[in-house]
Amino acid sequence: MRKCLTPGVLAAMLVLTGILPNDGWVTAFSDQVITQGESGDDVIELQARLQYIGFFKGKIDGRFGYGTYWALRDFQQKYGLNVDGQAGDLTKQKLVKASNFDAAFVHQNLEAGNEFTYFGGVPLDQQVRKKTGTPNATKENRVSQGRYTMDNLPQGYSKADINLMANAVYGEARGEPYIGQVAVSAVILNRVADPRFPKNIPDVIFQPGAFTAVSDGQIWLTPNETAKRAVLDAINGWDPTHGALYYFNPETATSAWIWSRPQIEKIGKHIFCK
Amino acid sequence: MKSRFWIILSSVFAAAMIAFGIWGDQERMAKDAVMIQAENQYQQSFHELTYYVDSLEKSLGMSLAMHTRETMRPQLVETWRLSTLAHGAANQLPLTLLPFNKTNEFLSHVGAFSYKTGVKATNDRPLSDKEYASLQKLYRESMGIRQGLRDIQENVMARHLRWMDVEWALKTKKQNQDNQVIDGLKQVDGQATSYTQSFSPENPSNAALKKKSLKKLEGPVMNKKEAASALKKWMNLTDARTSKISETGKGSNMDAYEVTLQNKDRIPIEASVTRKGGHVIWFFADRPVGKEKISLYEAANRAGAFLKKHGLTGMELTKKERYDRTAIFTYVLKRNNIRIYPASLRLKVTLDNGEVIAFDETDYLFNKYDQIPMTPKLSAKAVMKQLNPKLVVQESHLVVFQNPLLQNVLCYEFFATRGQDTYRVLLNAENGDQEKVELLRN
Repeated sequence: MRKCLTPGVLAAMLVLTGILPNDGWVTAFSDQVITQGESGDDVIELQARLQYIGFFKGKIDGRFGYGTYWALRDFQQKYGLNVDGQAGDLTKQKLVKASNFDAAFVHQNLEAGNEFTYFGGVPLDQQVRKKTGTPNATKENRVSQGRYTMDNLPQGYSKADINLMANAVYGEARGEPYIGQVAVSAVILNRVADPRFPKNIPDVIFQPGAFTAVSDGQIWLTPNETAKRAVLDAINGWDPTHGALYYFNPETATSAWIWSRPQIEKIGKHIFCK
Repeated sequence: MKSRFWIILSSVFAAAMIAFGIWGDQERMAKDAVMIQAENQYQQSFHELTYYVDSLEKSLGMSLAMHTRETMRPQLVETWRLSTLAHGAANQLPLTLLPFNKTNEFLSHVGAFSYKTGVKATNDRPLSDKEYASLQKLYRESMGIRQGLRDIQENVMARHLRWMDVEWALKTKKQNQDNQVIDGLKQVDGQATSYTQSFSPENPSNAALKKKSLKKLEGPVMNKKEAASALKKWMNLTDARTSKISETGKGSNMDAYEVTLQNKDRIPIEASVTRKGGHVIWFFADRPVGKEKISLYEAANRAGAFLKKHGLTGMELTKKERYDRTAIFTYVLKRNNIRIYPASLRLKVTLDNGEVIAFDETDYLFNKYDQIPMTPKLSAKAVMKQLNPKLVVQESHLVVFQNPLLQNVLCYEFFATRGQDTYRVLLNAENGDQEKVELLRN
């Protein structure tokens, strides 16, 4: 589709959209195809434009989730486009033609952390509910290098789960190579899945005697980014231990029992076993 | 002069001693208080455990006397609740390193059974003979476990045994020596073993971590050198150096080599290669990711190209996620237009240059998904009647889903919205049972 549009036609369209009453704002969509799971400025514009013409009723937050996906599909359906739920050139052009985008208004409110909507035909000052108290300067909403940094979370996990796991992994294995940290994260998840252990992350981590970092308080050290990355990799499916439930450091392990477990492999300083 | 000096010195010393003594006593008291509190918490958990197992036995016994599922249901739900509580209490005891695990496993079986027969089953037919036999078996087993726990309880109370001592025994090397509590628990554990072993075929949830060894792999058995070169060829890193290679031990579900490749750019690549066939199970490299230059869409194209290059075709991209400057894509095998969720694989792509830096096909390689009837008994329309009328169905597919009991079932998958929320509902295509409902993150 995009191949058949010559640069000339594209330029003409850009000019056309520039003429439309856009409060002086020329479309800012980059050339990328915007697809589900994406986040950033393009998604903010997409959501705002879909909201302007009534397709998107959710929060404009710059995350392309299911809400945005269904809204975009609705739009594509109504405008006779190919319904694929992603915003390519043609979809973007149609959308720009059909809607308005007041970038200054939207970005200003996002930055201030205000609750706001951007429906067409409603005066803008009626669509903002100012955030009371301190202005929102959390990481989620702050602009960094022209993009909103966003913490995405894997389906089924809370931020608290991930932070707690990162704490445990850092306390247990901060001196280990990256693969060793992923491995420790995987053991925690394998325990959650195993009927012999508690069924959720906090209970597995705080099970008495389960992790030395909990017993000696090292779990309360502040984890670094590497530990967090390792946790996310494990949650997303990487298990370097092939299903291990235990691990120990052969140099310091005092329990005879742990040596009797069938071993799987050694990663870094730890031996992983069933 | 001299004596005065000595008087002052000794009185200062005496005062210091008294102060030190008082301080020490306070410290000791504080420590005792903490110890007692910890001990009480263990005691509470243990007594709760015995109480719940007691009630569990009664509850199982009562359900045996009932006939139809409708009359049995409240009792089964109660059993389910008790098993969860008992499981929770058991997991608060300092027993991680003890073979008490089997008792936990038993509790989890009771939970799975009562949930499946009492909560989830939607029809009203009486229990099948098989289910009834399972129930009887669980009941018998619960009697043994209850007796064992009661014995320990008696012992603990009569001899003033402390759980803190168990913890100490576990921490030091002494756990194999005389420790009443531990011995008692081992006994209980021994009783549970026989049950667990015979229970497996019908209720195979204790196979949770064995599931991945089910499928047979193709290809010849490789030695270390062959496996390493197969990996390098697959990764297109023929001049990388093998800095480490080892074999998995007997605890592993799959025979594999763990390989570390050292590339020119000095970021190690960790990978696992099967001994049979030299299939790459997973690999990953943890390298710093530069400034974002490509979109998620472009990254997905790179992931697709990577799969094509490695002959992994007929896959559908079902999940795209961004974490910071990396993207994770989940692909699922598609056959006869049916998504086969147990056969999935994942790729991690950087958003600076679109490189695939991690890959995992454990499920795709090892999970069994054949031998499932691929034609639904019920039509999508018939099944859809089960959905809440307030849900607006946006998309539906036929899928194969692996339920928590590790059975593969053919399902209709509905993506439906209600207001701003999106749900994924899986309904069994054979009997209409609801297999899973998920509220998807927006």
